Amino acid sequence: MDLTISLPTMFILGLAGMALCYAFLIACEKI
Amino acid sequence: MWFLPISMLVTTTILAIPLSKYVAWIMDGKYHPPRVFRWFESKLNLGPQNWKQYTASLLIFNSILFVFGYIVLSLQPWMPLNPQGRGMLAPTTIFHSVVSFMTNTDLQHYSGDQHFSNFSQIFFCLTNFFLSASIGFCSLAAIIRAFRSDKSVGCFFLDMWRVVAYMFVPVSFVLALFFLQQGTPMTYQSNYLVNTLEPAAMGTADNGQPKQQNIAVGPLAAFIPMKQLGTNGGGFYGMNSAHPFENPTAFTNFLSCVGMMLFPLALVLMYGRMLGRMRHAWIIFSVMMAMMAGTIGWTVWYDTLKPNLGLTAHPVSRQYEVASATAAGGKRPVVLPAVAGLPVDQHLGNLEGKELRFGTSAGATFAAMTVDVTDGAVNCEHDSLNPIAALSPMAGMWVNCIYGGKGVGMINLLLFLVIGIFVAGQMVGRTPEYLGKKIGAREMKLAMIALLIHPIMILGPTGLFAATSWGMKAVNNPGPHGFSQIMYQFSSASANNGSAFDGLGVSYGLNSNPNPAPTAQQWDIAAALVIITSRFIPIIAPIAMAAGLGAKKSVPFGLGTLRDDTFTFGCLLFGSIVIIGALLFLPVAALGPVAEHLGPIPFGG
Repeated sequence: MDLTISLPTMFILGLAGMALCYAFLIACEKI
Repeated sequence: MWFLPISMLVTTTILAIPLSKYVAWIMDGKYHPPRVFRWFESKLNLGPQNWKQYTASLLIFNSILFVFGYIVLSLQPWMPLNPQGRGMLAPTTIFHSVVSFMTNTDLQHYSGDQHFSNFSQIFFCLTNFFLSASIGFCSLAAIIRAFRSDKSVGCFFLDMWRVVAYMFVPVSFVLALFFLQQGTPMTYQSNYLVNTLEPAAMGTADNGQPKQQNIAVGPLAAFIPMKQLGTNGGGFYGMNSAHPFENPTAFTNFLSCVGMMLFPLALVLMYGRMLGRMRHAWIIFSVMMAMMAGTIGWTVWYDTLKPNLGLTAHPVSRQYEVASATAAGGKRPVVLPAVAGLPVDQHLGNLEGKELRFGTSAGATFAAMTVDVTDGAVNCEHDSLNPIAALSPMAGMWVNCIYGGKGVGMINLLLFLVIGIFVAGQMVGRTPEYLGKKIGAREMKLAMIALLIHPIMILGPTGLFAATSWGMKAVNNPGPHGFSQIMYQFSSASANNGSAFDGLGVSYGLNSNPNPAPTAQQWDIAAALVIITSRFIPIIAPIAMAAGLGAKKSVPFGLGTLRDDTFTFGCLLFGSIVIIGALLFLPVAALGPVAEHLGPIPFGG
C-alpha cells in the first residue's frame, strides 16, 4: 500500500476531521 | 515506598481546595479585571452564547489552532531559532503532531530533541500547552452553567482567556521558579558541544579525532511547568521526564506529580462550588481518590515490590512455539535456556527502565498518576513495567475519569454518573433524576454516544492493527506483550493521554529520513483520527446533554429522590465505573497484560 502522502492531503484530512465534529454538533440537535 | 505517593496526594489535595475556590470565583466572573485586561476582555466577550454557539466557537477555535500548528511545523526549516538546521517532519507526522497537541493529547511520534527546533518547541508546543489545556476547562464550565439553568452557558473566548490569563500563566510562572532553582535550563541556545571525559565516548570522526557530545537545551524552565499543569505531557526531550534537564531532581519529580494533578483535583471541587453542592462534589472527589489510590497501589505493589519476572531463575530449559508470518507452518520455535539466576539484585523490585534518581517507587507512582490525570509525561519506561503492573495505567486510560484531564475527566465521570443513576432508577421503578432534573431518552442517548466512542476508538483500531501487518511490523515483541503495545497506543490516543508504552516502531522522523519505521504513516494517520474523534465527540455530546437537562423544570426533592451526597451514592458511582469499565475492557486486558502475566517467559512468568 503506497501511502506517500503530501502536506496538502494531510492538511485537508485534518480540516475534514474538524468538519465532521461540527456535523456531529449539528446532529446532536436532532437527537 | 508508600510515603512518596501519599505525600503527593495529600499535598495536591491541600492545594486544590483553595485553588478550587479561586477558579470558581474566576469562572463565575466575580473578579474585577486589571485595567490593562479590561479593554481586551470587552473585545473578547461576544455576549452570552447558547450551548450550540459555545461548542461551535470551541470547534472553530480548534480548527484555527490546527491551521496555525500545521503552518508552524511545515515551515520549521525556514523559521528562526533553528541553528542546527532541523528539516521538515514527514507530512503524516506533522498531521499527527498537530492533532495530538491541539487536543491536549501530546502523543509524540517524534523526538523533540532530535526533530524540533526551539522555534517549534516554543510556538507550537508551548502555545498548545496553554490553549489546548483550556478547552476541557471551558467545556466543564459550560456544562455547569447549563446544569444551573443559567440563561447562557457563557462566552467561550472569554472563558478561555480567563483560564489562560488568571490561572495557567500565574501558576506556571510560580512553578517555573522552582524548576529554575532546581537546575532546569532556560536558554534560547539550542545545543552545547562538549568534550566528554572519556575521549572517544561518542566515537571518532573520519579524521580520527574524538567526536564531541551534542547536548540539546532550550527554554525548559518555561516549558515544563505548563507541560504538567495543563496535563499536556509532551516532552521537550524524547525521554520526557526521565531526562535530567526536564526533571533534574527528586524535588522536581515531586513538583511534576503535584503539578499534573493540581487542576484536575481542583476542578472537581470547582464543580461543587459553582453548583452550590459541595457535599456532592466531595463524594465524587472521594470516589476518584479511591480509584487513584487503587491504581497507584496496584502499580507500586506489582512493580516495586515484585521482581522483574524476566530476570528471575528458570531452572529448566523450555521450548515454545510462537506465531510467525515468515516461518513455515506459521509458527517458529523459541528456546529458553535454563537460568539458575542472574546476578541482578531485585530486592527493590523491578528496576528495569526506572530512573533511580527519584527513588525506587517513583516510576510506578508517576506511571499511575500520569495516566489517571491524562498527563502523559513519563519518568520510566512503561514497556518495562511488570506485565500485571502495566494493567493499572491501561485501566486508568480505559475509564478515563480518575480525575482525568482538566474538565474532561469530570465530564467523563458525569457520563458514568448519569448512566449509573439511570440504571438505579430503572431498578426501583422511578424516573431517574440528576440535580433535580429528570433524565430522559435524549440525555441517555447522548451519554451513551459519548461513553461508547472511547471503547470503539480503542478496540476497533487495536483489532485492525493486531490482525494486519500494520501492527505486526511495528511491534518489537511477540505475543501478548506486542498486543499490549498496540492496545496501549490506541488507549493513549483515545484517552487523549499521550503517554507511550514504547516498543512500537511508529516514528517516521524527518521527511528526508531514508529509513523510517515501515508502517509509521499508517500509525500517524490512525492515531490522529482516533485522537480527533475521541476528543471532540465526548465534549460535544455531554454539553448537549447538560443543556437538555438544564432546560427541564426542576423536580421537587421528595422521599423517593436518590440523594447524590451520601456514601451509598458514592458506592453506586464507584460500582458503575468499575462494572462498565470491566465489561468494556476485560477481554482485551485478558489478551494483553493478564495473558503475559500468566503465560510463559518470554511472554510472562
